[in-house]
Amino acid sequence: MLWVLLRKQIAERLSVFRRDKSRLDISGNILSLLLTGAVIAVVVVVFARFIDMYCAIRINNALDVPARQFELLTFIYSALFVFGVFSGIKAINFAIFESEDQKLLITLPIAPSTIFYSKLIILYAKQVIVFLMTILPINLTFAVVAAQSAYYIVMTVAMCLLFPLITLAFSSIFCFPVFYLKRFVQSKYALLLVLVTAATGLVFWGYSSILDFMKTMLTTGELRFFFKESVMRTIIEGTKYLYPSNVMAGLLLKRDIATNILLVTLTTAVASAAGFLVVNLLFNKANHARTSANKKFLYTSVPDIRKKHIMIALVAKEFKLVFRTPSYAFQYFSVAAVMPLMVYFCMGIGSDLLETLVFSKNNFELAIFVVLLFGTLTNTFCATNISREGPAFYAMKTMPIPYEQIIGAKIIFCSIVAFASTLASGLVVLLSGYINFGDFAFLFFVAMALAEAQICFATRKDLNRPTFSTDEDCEITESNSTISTIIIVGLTLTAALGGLALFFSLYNGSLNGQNSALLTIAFVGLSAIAICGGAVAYLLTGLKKRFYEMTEGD
Amino acid sequence: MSDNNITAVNNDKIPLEISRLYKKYSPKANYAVEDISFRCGKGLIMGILGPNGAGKSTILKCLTGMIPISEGEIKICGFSIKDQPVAAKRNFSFVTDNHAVFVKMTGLQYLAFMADVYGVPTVERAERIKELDKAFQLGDSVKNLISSYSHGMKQKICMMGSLMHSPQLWIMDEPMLGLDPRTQGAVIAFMKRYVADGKTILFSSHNLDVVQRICDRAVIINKGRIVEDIIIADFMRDNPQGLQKYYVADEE
Repeated sequence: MLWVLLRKQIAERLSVFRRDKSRLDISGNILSLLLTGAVIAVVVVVFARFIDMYCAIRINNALDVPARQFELLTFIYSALFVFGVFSGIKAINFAIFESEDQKLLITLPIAPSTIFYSKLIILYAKQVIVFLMTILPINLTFAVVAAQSAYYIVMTVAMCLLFPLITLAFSSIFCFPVFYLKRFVQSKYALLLVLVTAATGLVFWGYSSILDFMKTMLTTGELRFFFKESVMRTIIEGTKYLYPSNVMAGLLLKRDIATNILLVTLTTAVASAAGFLVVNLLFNKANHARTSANKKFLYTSVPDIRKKHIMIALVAKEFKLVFRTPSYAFQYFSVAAVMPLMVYFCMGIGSDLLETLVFSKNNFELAIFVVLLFGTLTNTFCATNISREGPAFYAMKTMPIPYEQIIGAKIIFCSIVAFASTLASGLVVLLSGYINFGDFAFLFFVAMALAEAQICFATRKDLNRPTFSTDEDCEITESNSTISTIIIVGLTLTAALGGLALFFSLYNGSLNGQNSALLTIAFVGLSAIAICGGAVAYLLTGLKKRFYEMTEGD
Repeated sequence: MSDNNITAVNNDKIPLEISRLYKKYSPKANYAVEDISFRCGKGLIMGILGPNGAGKSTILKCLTGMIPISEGEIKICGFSIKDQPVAAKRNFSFVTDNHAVFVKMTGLQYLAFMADVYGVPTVERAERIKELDKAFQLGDSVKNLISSYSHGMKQKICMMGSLMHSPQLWIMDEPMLGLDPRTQGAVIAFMKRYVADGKTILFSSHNLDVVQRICDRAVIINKGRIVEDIIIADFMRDNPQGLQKYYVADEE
């Protein structure tokens, strides 16, 4: 039976090759590859430099390279372990509670553990790929910088296979408690939205803090001052308790091989047994809880049924659709709400970096770049302006509403969100003293022009080729070529406008010391107007024809 | 008359006139429907029948403006769906076969939205909702999110939404699909009351029993063409085996 289920999953995975070729998200896949490559490259470069610095740290004036290597690997494997367990929990929860096939599978005469393990095997294969992309670059960088032997390379490959197994075993223990916790939190939707928004901000704050720390360390060479003796003692003590990462690090560095192999085997066996037990106890119960979930949300307040202008009704509809779909609300409202925070952090790091590296203050140009960048990421959501409506979009076509109003309402809704997030971001930059009021006004104008351009372009692109979900809730959960195109075009324009503005200011500043603001304003301002005009023209050209001709299966 | 005229409701004209309707989905494709012509007068319940793939849904999509027509003309209460789509759409409403509804709204919010779309005055809304709730019996569920509704409940809210403005022409694609017998009975009773007020109903269905029981007229479609346009009462008198004959003939 396990093989039957595995074959089913493999066939489903391979079905991607049978899809309509024109529907393949080639640009999205290329973008993902490029971004992954870029992230790996940055990690490798930074990590290589960090290994050198860290291994040169002396305690009581004594150099102990093997000990530093052990600590370094232990901490890295701890981070990977946490990442592996969390991503494992997420993947397992999706596979067994959210995937559509589960509704059918639990009605078939198949043991729950068989269903679970068939999914786990596929997840294992996926996790191996993920860990190949994370462990390999880190371990190979370490091997080159720290001059490791062939044994280390062999163990690295073994880790790529073993690590997913251990992390998935731990994930299977925690996936059910997490499922119940998630259900509880989901029942408090408003709280969840606030929490996720706060968590997004917090994650970004943590990320920018790490970047800021690394920037300071690498540009000033103060690494050794940070890792002073007391800090090092804590690290050395901490590595003793970071189980099972310290065992893995020990294995990689040829420390107590026999004991460590025994410990790893025992850990895997115990975690798997515990996972098996939890699965057998909770799998059916959790699935029944999910399928019999009372999805009723009784609104105690009486809805306003007074007559509203059609545009207000349409914009309100757009808002409800996004607000009441958790994934949409997080993707759009949370990101828009956190955007000012992101801008603030990036301005801090970017401004310092420019001052340190090129001895130049270019906050105005930097602000343009940063606000455009995050504006692009926020407004990418508009790439589903048509698709997220699902088949109800066709029903809209049968209503006596002119097409301009249906499309216009979508543009207005997105513009309101863009206006709020751009204004808040601009104000943050202004109030932080990076720019003056005149610069703020220009920054706001340019960012809104680009936002409008992106909204118009994305909406028309989606109308040209909508991707309606077959899901009961019509929710778009996968990326598609329209989304990828919007990201690529948005980032390219950001790089062109923001990047060139920065370039102009740096070039002019170093060349003749002149204030380059005028050139920036002329270039960026005119370009923004042209881009916005082009996007509006793209939206409107043949809009009526396209709107009325669009049919299912287009 | 302006296409966007909000008061473009015409009670005097014939509810539906289709003349020489042709539709193909792409230039190289065959016609999905061809040479379809019929009129539908006031106070009638008219059925569109035919086997799967006959072209029923295509006709409904064309006449509701969901898809553009290739050739011909469709007029709803005198307004051309091609040239005056908004004015034409003010005079009918359409219930799709796939519950195309905004699932993230509560039932009540959806009804208010539909009332806004069709410009129903505030004073009439509460009474109208009460009236429709009495007929379709959604009860307290009307306050719930539509995403929590069952198949039948979604069908009910779609029907209720489409009736918020009491359209001259009520069009439905497979309206009885997924409804329990009790609700089917309630819907049929409502349909009869509705046409008694001079309104018109057009629907497609595979449920021959329902068509025989409530329709005044039916057009039979096969392979994209009208095979027959019948008065149900006359037809039943001459053909005791009922409408089943068209399906049997098709299978043979």
